[in-house]
Amino acid sequence: MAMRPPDLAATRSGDHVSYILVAEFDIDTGSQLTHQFPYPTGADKQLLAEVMLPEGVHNRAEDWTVFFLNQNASNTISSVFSRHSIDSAASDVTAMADERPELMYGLSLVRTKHDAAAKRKAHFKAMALVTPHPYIQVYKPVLTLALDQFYVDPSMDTLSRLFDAVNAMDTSLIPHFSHMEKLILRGSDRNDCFAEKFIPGMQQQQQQARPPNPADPDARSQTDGGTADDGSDESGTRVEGPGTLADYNRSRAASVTSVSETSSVGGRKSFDNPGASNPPKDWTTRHKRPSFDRVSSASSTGSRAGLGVKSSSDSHEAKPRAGTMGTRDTHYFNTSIVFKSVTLPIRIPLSTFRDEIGDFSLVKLIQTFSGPTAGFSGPIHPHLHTNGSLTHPLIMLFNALITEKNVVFLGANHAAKDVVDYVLAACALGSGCYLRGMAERAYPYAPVAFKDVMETTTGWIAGVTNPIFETFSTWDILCNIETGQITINKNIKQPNYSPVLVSSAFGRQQRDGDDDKESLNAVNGAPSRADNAGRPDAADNAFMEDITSAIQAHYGEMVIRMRMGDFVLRFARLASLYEQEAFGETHIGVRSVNYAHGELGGGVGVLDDISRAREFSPLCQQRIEAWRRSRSYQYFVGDHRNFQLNRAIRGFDPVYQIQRLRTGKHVADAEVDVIMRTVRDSTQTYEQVTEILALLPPYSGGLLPITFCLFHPQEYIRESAVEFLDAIQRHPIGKLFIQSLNLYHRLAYKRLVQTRNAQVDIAKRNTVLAATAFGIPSAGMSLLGSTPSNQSQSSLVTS
Amino acid sequence: MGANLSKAMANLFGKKEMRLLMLGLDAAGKTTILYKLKLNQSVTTIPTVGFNVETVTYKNVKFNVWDVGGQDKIRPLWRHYYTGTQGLVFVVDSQDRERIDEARQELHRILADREMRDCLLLVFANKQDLPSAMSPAEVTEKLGLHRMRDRSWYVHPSCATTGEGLFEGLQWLSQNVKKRQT
Repeated sequence: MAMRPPDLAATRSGDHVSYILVAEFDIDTGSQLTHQFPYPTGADKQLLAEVMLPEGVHNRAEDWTVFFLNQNASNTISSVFSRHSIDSAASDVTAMADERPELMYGLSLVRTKHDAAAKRKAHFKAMALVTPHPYIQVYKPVLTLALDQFYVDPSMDTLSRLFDAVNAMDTSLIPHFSHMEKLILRGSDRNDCFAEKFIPGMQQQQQQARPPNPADPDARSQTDGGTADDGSDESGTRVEGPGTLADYNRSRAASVTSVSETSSVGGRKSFDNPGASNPPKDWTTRHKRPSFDRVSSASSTGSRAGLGVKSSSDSHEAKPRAGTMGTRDTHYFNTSIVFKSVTLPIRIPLSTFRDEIGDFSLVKLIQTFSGPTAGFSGPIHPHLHTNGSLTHPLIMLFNALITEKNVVFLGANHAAKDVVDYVLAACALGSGCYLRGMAERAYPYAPVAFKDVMETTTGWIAGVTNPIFETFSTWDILCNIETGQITINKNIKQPNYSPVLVSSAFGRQQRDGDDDKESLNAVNGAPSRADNAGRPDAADNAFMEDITSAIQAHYGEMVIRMRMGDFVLRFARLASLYEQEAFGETHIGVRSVNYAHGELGGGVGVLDDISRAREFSPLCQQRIEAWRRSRSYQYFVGDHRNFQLNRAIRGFDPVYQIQRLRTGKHVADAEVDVIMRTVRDSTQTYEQVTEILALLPPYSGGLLPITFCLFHPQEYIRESAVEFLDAIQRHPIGKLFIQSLNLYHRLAYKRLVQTRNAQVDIAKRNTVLAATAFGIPSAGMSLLGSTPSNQSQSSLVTS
Repeated sequence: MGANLSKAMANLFGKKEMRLLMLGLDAAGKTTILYKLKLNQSVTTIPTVGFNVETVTYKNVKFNVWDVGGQDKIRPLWRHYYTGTQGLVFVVDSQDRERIDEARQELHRILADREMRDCLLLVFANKQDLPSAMSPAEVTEKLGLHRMRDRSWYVHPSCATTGEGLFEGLQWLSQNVKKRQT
């Protein structure tokens, strides 16, 4: 500990892990928190101990639990040493209520060790790591090692070693992705998507933003080799564990062992022979192309091999650092943690969104609650049964989440980690990359001790293993993970409000103000009996059929999450339409209009009667009205405002245009023309390109809606499409999208470009001829190339 | 509806359900009793973190037995299990004279709860096989049960490892719950 340079400590604190906690089950007194490192969190100690030592752990060898801090008064970090409390000088609870500190994420491992010599034949110890980052799953290996070590050496020293080891993890070169880039990354299953972001030169801004770090000099490319050599020298003479600067360097040096040049497209196969230690290529080679190293196996077996490679390389060779280029898959940032001289490879996921915590499976959640035994029982509730008795159970769960119902996931006789996964998946289900406010009311594992505290939260989402929760009256829906059955509490509170805009007929009723709200309520307060029956063709049901068949077709977790995200986005847009029709204005979207007289449409457009009945029925409006009263909605209003202020594409609604191109029927040439020209003109900067490409994920056909325009009968539309492709091709990510096109479309694009170039050449030649003949300057004449005409330019010129 | 109907049918055919809550100080033998009843085996137990719950059928009565850990710091959690409990099984380590007063306080605290006002009380004076174990009469006296007028209670000696006395206790519970219903 004393070896650690003080300034290094300052830059590290709270970077990766903020607290290490240890809880033990004392055979005389029960669960108690025994250690908090580096200082107490200020959260309720008994509750922390209870969540770390899950109920029933005496029947298991080990279990994992997840908990969050800064959710309510009793688990808010309020340590006098804590940064958070210093920043917000007024740390009273009332101030917190409005401006909550950021959530902290806790991952806890508990082990039961049977010991015949012990008084009651067993020890229960749990160790937790509290971090500000949601990718808690990456810490599982190191926590496993650390808890084993703690059983051997139950001292503060073990905790401080773990703390230092995790905080020494090098993520200084972690690439940062915008929301749009993340969507693109998630949608792509290519390993080289955004590979350019992993080139160190691209990260200079981030490096400058970081505080200076002795182990991490600014002029890295020049001095890094020397630093790493120091590290290797010292590691030869010292047998100390991590926590020292030398070990910090060693871990860094060891984390990346070799670099090999791989083609950005065809490099996947070569990832699979990690043993080979190719000599590193020089800088220029690496700058030319993104390449990939072999981090994992060489470094996990020990750091020596990696150091050997380093010392043999030439001295000006810049050592690739953790994550730099060292990425076999750009969806992850590769780095490592060295604990007790064991190097653990770490893969930090890069395409995760708010409210996506840990490594849950949304697919499993969907399968459980749409399986053969799935179903629901209990009273009908307007917010939950948005398609009457035909509501899909998973849609009911979604409705419960967004309307802030109290949701319990019960797994009797299950490990705590099982219910944790369901709760984390539910958070993702309810947020779908766009909304937020789920995690802050989630208690992934809730022991019975949490009951009272949890119930101070509106709309809590809890994972429980204790069937006593069934007898409590405070939940609204109880989801049994064993059977897939959802029970609605027979005493569930019925809402005392109803949607402003409920129309018994499905005809549109534009309302300019809300003055006649009262009368509408009176007339339409209760949906008719026929509505309660539900429609088999409701949009939600069709969507769930799609999703379940996608799962059956073994689509990946990320595709399912994104499609769920599309569903949430659609929901938000329908909510916007609801506001527009009910109140005359909306704070969460653009006006829903159709294309008319050269003006592009937006929102969800104008729904026809059939779509209205399928996805905007009075039943569906119930959940919209309930959502409008939730915290999630308030967040979304703010997020939408910020998005509109900062977005790159202005002046039109790209989501609607892409949807028109993708699914529109009988779209007039004029509209396609305006769409294509507007899209083309609005995809010039990198940010604009990513915003458009984020709407064209590979799982829904990629660029196809646009490239179909390459075959449009109107030449000017074909031209717009070509120019759009030209524009995105200027960016590496756009190139990837074009490469992923099917051959037919790619060839069509190539042919159109060639024709155009030929035309331009001929035009140029003619202009030059004309210029020499008539003395006209040649500038501007190349505009001829884009003359809107169905005829070929060359024929015009030659005629 | 369906649940009520099946309950009525069960009563008609003499099948009853009864929810029992088994409490007591730590290391009194609650978990050993539970698994002796369930499996008719003497299992080596480790401290209970949280709870165990098992169903034991005896003489046509289905007992849902909740066994909750008894360490000092986790006793405040007992109250979460009170609602719906028909019988409290309070287990006393008859050899632990030092803590019998602590046991008495805990017992009276449990019974003072509103949710527990109607439930039967069965006390197992456990670990009777050990030398110098207190007799059931002594346990009764030390727990201050004689002053308890408006509650049916019953103290029975038991030995969880051999199973002696356990089913007699259940017998008393099933008989008394029957009386109440008729």
